[in-house]
Amino acid sequence: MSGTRVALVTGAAQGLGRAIAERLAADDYAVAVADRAADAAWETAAVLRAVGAVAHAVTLDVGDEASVAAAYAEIDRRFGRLDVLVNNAGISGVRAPVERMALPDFETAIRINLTGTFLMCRGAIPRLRAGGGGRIVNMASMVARGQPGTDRANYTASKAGIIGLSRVLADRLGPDGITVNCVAPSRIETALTRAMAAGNPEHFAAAARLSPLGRLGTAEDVANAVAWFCSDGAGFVTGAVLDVNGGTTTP
Amino acid sequence: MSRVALVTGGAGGLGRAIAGRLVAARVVVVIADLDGPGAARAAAALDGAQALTLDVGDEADVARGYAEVDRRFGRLDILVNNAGIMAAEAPPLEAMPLAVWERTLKVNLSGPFLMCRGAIPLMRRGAWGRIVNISSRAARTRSAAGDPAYPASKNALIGLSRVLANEVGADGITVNCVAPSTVETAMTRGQDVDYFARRAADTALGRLGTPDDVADAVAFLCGEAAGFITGAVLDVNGGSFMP
Repeated sequence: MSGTRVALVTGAAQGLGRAIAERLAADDYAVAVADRAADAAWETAAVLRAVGAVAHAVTLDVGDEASVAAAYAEIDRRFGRLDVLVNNAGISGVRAPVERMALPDFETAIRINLTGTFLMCRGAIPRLRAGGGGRIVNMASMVARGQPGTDRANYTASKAGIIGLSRVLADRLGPDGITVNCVAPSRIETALTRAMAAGNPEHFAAAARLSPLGRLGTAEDVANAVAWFCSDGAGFVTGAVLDVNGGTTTP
Repeated sequence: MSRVALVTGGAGGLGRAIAGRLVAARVVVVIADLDGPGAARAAAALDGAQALTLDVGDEADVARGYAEVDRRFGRLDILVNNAGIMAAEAPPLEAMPLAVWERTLKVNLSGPFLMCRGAIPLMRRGAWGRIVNISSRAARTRSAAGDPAYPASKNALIGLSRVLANEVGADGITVNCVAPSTVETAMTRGQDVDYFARRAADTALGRLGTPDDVADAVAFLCGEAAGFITGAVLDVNGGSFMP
């Protein structure tokens, strides 16, 4: 077990995070399936184990400093090492024009998406260093790549902040052999986003038309990009943002 | 039948690494190069690779090259526009003769244009395609390149790629750029002795890129897994610049 690389994926119980966890498990990583939803995380870890992977569920609220510390303590105990951190957990936030956005609605998105990524990176650094290097992949978004989200100042600022944070970390952690990169997806079709758009089928069709490829992205499209950043072959790529948006925007 | 790729500048250091990486992914690779014997040697070193003598800046030669690819394989799935030049003794912009400027643009920009234009009908046949254009860190920020036409051409290549990505997306063809920092190859070897040390010190990782670093990014973008990535620029520069 000590020879198996360990990947920690946040927000991994379902949707995008689950696809990333499955993809990394397929690449022979042992996976820490971290999520605020403990039962769902447990189920996802069980599904991964059923196909032969090493996986454990970890209950984690990325916006809570004590919860992050407890989760890392559990990962140390369960896995004894960390090689990859994928900061996928995030919320889309309450939508409102800035002049009518309540401060808590702004701060909640920043707290989970940006401060959560900060806390997770901060905890990962000594553990990645102990293994002689590693990979951090952070989830940005097309909204931070030239297509700002209407009435989404909270979400857009948080995702732009993640790119800035990643660049600082990339610069700082290069000498430790740790790469830090972002994936910036467009709207992705998952069970969750399908349910959200259930009453409005035109919603997805309109998003698909924005791409020259004429379709929405899938969780697997994003997971493949994350997995590439995590691979040995991507060792000279750091501080980069990879747009996975079907050509919707070309920043 | 296996997918077929064409790699221009395939006899050079970067081109050989790209071809090798694609061959490892079970793609049949056509190594195209102005240097015919060099292309033949590079192809001989790789299982299932073939050589093609080709000047990417020559319209008739490109047409002849594609006719040859069509005759040999009847298909083309992947095009990597890697061929490029940098004028060795270019003067500063204010003193630059038009002919020197145009020579670099001819190979680095008109070359990929001609190669893309010829590839599209072949890729359309299979309703699938991957085009990867080798841009440069020099197109992403202030450039140390001595030839002012070099960053100009590599910037324009990104523009060309974006237009093309939009144009051929409906055909299942993706078009992306890889923007590497200095890689030690025959093209860059003429630089002064401190040059490589400075370029390595520019990076967060403290080293120069290798042909394999670039080849891996190219191979990823050429794969099935990158099907929703188009019009993108992937920076392979060790964190020396983060656009």
